[in-house]
Amino acid sequence: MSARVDLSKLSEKYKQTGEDTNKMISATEENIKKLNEQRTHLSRAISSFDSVLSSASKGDLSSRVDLRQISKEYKQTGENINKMISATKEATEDLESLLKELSTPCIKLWEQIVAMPLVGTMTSDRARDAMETILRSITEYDARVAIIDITGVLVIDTMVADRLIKTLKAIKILGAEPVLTGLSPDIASTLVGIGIELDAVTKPSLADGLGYALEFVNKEIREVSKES
Amino acid sequence: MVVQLQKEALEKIKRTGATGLLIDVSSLDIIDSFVARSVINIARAAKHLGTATVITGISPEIALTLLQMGFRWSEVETAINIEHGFEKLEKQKRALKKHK
Repeated sequence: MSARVDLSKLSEKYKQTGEDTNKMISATEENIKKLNEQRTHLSRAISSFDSVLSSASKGDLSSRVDLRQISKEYKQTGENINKMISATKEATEDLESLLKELSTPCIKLWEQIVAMPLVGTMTSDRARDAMETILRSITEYDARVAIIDITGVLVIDTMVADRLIKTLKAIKILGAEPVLTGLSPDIASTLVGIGIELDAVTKPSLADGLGYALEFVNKEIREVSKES
Repeated sequence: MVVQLQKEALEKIKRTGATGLLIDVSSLDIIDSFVARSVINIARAAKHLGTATVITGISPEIALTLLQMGFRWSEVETAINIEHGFEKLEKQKRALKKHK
């Protein structure tokens, strides 16, 4: 669009028309330039949004839209996307911490007896949390017996089994008596297969474990006859 | 300091003829392998002197450290708190007497 009407070659009569034509071409050129600029801005903004949103949809909530690289008219959208991702991240973290609390509860079952029922799939992270929780509870309640109940755990891998053994050992180091209850046949086979010596008392059910624990602290469960 | 403790504790056992030794570590925040080894040695040496020995008040942090060090902690009796420690001392003393 660099071509223009050569005004010097035109006679006076057509000069005005030539000038107008030139102006029109210049204006069109200007407009096309502006449109092109806008297109680049838009595509830059969209590709920026796209990369952030696609990584967010894959579960990575750490990337943000770089607002400095986006032109003014798309900044608000970028900000909103950032806010949305931040809020999602916050909510996810809240849920994760809640889940962590709920997944390894340690309860005082009786005077000097604490128990921790484990439910669901055990990961080595969860096993580590469980270990910390039960050790802390033992010292907090001055417990003599600590029961770990794994009735709700269907399978464990070698890493978790190793952690479990370590937990039992640590309980012994504290001076308390570890009791492992509710082993499923599968888990019992796993433990035997790994070839670790379980130097802790194991009982088939939590009830048996409680009976043993009460006996350990010189208490007993007794049937009483009621006069009808 | 721990070396001095070892010396003093053992000498005092000899002098007083104590039948039980209770080492409480509940005010220790962390423990290194040297201190851990020394405390175990005190307990072992006291056993040789015919004294029942119990270590009490081990925190979860210290328990994990000891676990990682891989000591054979089972040769030393441990207890949750001092009250529990005394109970275990009595039990050990009875066992020692039977042995004699």
